[in-house]
Amino acid sequence: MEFAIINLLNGLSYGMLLFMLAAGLTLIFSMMGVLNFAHVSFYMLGAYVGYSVSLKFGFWAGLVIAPVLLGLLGAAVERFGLRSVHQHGHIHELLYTFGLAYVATELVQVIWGRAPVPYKLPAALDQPLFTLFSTTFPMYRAFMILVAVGMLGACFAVLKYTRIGLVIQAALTYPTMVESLGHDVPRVFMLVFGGGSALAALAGALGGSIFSTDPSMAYTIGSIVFVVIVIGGLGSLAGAFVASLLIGVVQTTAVAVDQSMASLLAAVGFDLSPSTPGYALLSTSVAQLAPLLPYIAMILILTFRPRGLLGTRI
Amino acid sequence: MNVLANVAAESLAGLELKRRRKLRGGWIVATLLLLAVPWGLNSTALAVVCQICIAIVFALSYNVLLGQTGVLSFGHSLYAGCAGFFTAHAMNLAAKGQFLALPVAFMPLVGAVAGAALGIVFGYVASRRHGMPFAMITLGTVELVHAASLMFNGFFGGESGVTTNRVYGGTFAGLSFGPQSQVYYLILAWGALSAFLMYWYRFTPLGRMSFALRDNPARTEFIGYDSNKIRYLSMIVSCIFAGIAGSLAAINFEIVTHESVSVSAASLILVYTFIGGTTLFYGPIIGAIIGTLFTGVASGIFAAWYLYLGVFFIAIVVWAPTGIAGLIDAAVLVWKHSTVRGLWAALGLAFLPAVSGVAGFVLLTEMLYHRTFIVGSDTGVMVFGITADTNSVMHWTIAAGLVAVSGALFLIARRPFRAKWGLAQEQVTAAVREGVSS
Repeated sequence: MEFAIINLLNGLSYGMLLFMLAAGLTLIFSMMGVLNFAHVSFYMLGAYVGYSVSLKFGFWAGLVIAPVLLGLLGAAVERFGLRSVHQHGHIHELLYTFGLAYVATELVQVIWGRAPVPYKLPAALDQPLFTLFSTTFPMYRAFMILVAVGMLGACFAVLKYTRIGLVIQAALTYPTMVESLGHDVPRVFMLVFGGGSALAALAGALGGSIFSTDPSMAYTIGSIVFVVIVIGGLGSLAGAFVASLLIGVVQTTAVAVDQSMASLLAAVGFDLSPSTPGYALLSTSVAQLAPLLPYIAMILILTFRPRGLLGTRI
Repeated sequence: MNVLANVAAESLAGLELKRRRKLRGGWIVATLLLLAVPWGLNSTALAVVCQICIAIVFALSYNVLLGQTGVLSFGHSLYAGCAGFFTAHAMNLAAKGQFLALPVAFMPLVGAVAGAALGIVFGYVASRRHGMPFAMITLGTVELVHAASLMFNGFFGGESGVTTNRVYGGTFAGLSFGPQSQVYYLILAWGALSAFLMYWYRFTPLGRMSFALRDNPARTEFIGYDSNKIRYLSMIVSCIFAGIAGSLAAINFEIVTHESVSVSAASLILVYTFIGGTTLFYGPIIGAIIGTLFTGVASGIFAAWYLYLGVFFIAIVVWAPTGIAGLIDAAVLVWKHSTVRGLWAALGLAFLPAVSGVAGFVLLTEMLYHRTFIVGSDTGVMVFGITADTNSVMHWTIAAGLVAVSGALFLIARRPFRAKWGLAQEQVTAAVREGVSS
């Protein structure tokens, strides 16, 4: 019970972090048709900028300044880079962001070095929130969930109840129609790209201190976030939400399960020996398989439900 | 540029058929030159040439998907890498006298079969989608296999990989394939065969339908072709040649590691192919040569070569979306059909500050890298034969000044060139239209 609750909460906090990334990514995708490879680079840059600012002005300043700065950078990337590539088609746009991600990883290494940087938690949050029997749940994780929920609530409100939100929603499905009605769709694109980047940077500044802030962090989380938006259904915010929490909980739970197929079979009376065919596969524990699970889930989803959990288009 | 690309696509079939005859002579000259290579080069250079040949097969096979069928794969290393593992195991078995005792000269067949099998399995999942989902599925599958490769040591050999030995079972036609020069001929023979087959494939009905699918999926479906099937078959064809490339790599290096099934290996071949150009057959060949020289040679000279490759790639995506081959093609067409005066002089004027700007950028970046990664009293960094001191404000100013001044000059010099180039493109478009219609 204790194990289950703590794992669920840990998975929830990781899942919310994933969703902060996936939300921007899936919005940008459905609006511009571009799979933004540089999205997770903004996550990484957010963590690094947050770290640098936190050294001078403290953690809280970093948490605010990093998203603002990188949101502006994201908008600039859209305005001065992506927009001129747009005429060549989606594949070129994707490759442009792919190249940016490539360069961002190198630049981060030149500026901050190859080793992880010591991004510290704020002292006020560096303590357990509560203890359940013998396992503690850190306050910072709860704070992460809180910030994520607040942020996403705000985004939801903007999308649902403001004029610009309505234009964004309309531009998701019928960009040319919205443009003919007199709205500046390229500017809306820029706003969404900037906003998505800011969200990613916020996730980076939040996650960088509790996970590791190193040059490989973008790559590590990047493929998981891609899996999340495919499982949720491309372009579906609600689907991304469900998939984020699902993957978050599954991944954090799986690494803690030391059972394997072989031990399961042993429990019901089949003892396997190393000479059994497929023993290597059967004796691999769930914890070892954890990194594979998101990809296996993605392939299964794509085979049996190509539009994803809550997606509407293929 | 864009207009030209459209015209080029429209008239691709016509132009390419016209070129076929001319190219035949080129093929023969190239083959003779390639046969003579081992006499003119030392062993280090020969090893690089072998890597280039392998990269060419790999890049061409990748372009069957990207350039020809118009789908973007992020997982092409999966097929080459796994085929490499199969080949290494087959060679180890053959050395023990098992597995038909297949001579090493025919080992690429194992790669081709393995590639086809992998294409049949993984292609089935991926080919039912196109565009972005296709890219993501291929990314997911390569991540899956790469993560699994570190788990199942029996097949993938764990961190250290699978080693093999290409000298076994006597000689074949007098060759033992021990020395690099003999391996070179093996790679050349298989490489030339693969390149020829992939060139021929472009003119087969399936090859032509994959072009149609790339250019207009809706129309292709409408005239009764199943787009999923075309994608699936193209993927299998592409995987067969990727498998051959993987096999050749296994024979050449005598080791296959988990690195060869990683996303980074897949993105590298994507970058090579795109830099070379995807719209023309010889694009990936140029890309593979430049890319291999970048990773094999420039990495020994410049600390920041990886960054340069990335920046170069972005520059190609933004300014030359048809790659270097596309640029060459455009230049040739302009040379033939345009009468704009002073075009080449304007190009030269824009080119000079571009070169000095790139030199300044490299100098600046190398100094920056040196400052970050070399700790201690060593502050001198060698760039282009001169030593810059990372402690000297003067040197930093010179490097930054070079970039700034060249950048400004370039912005001024490119204006007349752009105007003239635009005019020339109009003439070319008109001439090509006329040529196609007549």
